[in-house]
Amino acid sequence: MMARLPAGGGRFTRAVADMAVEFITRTARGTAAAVAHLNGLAVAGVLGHADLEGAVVQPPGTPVHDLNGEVLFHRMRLERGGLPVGYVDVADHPGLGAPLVAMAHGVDWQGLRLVDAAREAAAERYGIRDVDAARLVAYSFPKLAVQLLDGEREVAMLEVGTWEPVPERRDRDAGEPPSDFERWSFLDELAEEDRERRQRSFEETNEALSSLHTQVTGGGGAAALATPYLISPPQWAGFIPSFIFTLSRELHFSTRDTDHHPCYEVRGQETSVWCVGASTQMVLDFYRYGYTQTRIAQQLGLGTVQNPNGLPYSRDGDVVTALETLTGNALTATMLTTPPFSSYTAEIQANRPLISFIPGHSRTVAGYDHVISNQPALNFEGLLVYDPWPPNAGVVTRWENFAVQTYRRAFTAQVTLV
Amino acid sequence: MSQGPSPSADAAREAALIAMARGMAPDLTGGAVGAPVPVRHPDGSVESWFVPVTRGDRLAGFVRITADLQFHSASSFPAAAQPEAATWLDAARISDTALQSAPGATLTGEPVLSYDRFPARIAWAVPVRDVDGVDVTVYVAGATAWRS
Repeated sequence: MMARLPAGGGRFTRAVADMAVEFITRTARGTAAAVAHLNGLAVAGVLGHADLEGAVVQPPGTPVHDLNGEVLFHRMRLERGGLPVGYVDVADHPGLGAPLVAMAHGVDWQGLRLVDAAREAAAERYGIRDVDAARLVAYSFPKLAVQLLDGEREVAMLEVGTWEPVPERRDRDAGEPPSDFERWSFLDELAEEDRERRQRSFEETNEALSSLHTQVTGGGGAAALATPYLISPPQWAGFIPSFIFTLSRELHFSTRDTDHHPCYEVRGQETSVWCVGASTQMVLDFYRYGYTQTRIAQQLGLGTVQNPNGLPYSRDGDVVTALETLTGNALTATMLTTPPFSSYTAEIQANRPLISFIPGHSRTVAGYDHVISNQPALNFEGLLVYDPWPPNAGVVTRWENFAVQTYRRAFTAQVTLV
Repeated sequence: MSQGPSPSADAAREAALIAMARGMAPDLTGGAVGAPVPVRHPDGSVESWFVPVTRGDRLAGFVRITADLQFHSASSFPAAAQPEAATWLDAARISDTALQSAPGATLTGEPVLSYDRFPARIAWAVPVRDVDGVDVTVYVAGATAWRS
């Protein structure tokens, strides 16, 4: 939905016009920064299967609003030769912390069609026809809905895809997280301290990346080395060394990330010494084996809940036996000693969780985050760890700094194919 | 108990805030960053810092900062299972949990955030004298307690 200028002249109109110009300028700058970021990722080869070379970002895209009405980001289509490649989310609001919010590959993004579909669903399913405006809203960031308006009044908010009405906002207790299907404002729920940090990070990143974009594209002038919205690693390669690349992945239902949400659950260890049992349970749960932790403990020789014991170092290899036995050899397990970071990334890229032994403890790994820069201080290798500690709870550690942890063993498990 | 040289809690908190600003703790976004608690080795020296992040009266998670102020990790509890912050941060509550797990025991000292044998197994160490008069440590992690 475009910003409208009120009729008439005067100071107020000029102020609003200034705001509109500032808004458009900010979006254009953010788009430039996002294009620079995408080119950086492409040059670094960290986009995996998402081949973006030759793709062109299509601004201005579709605005997506926060629940409080502010524009959060624009979702822009990526095309190659007029055919859909995916989409990219470009931040408008500095509260998001960085210009490039997200990128999806293999998706045909058509924002206006979604809005039309919402209008049709509203009319057919709910009899709502008096709608004079509609806009996309991140009702539970990053989940989207279409908000249908009569003037300033909301007449319905329908979740994209299911077209189910998003429930009215409710008062939550202090500290109570939103439920799975609930509207809440990403911006309003940012703590002030966090908001300020994000804004600083956004401005710094935006400044650096948009400058890089100007350097490479010549600001769109005759000296341009690359066209403004093109993903072209060869043209950008010479400029990228002063850039930061990030590669990140976590387990999904399959290797096709756009098909499903992340797909993994933490299991708390049921005694103070059953971390191996809980870790094995997490991996088996991922492959849809519904063993109790007690049964897994029995297989591993870890005693009972009333009289438990841990797995001695000398019996690390029992994890391999347990994974294979409990799956009737459907899984082929392997034990790695002091595995490097690349062992974890390779398994996660293949959509397989790992069990990770560190001194005195066992957890599972379900994702990673890899930041590469020519500025060593910014480099980062992180693991997404599903940790069964503390007992009867467990935590999700996003991220664990690979550089400061000691990794003793890792266990991989691969489905045996025929 | 000897207290080895340690960086200040303020520096640990700053390290946690910087890590969060760099996106190393995305699951803790929006939470309130509390006062760091030193995680102590059995000899009393600082192993790391536990920087709690709360949402209301719940502990959303925590950031671990190493003794030399490097980012170690950021952990969050599942949304539906966030413990009461007091179970991790209130010394009296932690002592009560320890005593409830050891009927007849009495406290012989203050709880110390430490670990059960290995630093990954973070827990409060509560010194008690059990019903037989033996001095033991009861470990408390949230609502769970066990004897060393």
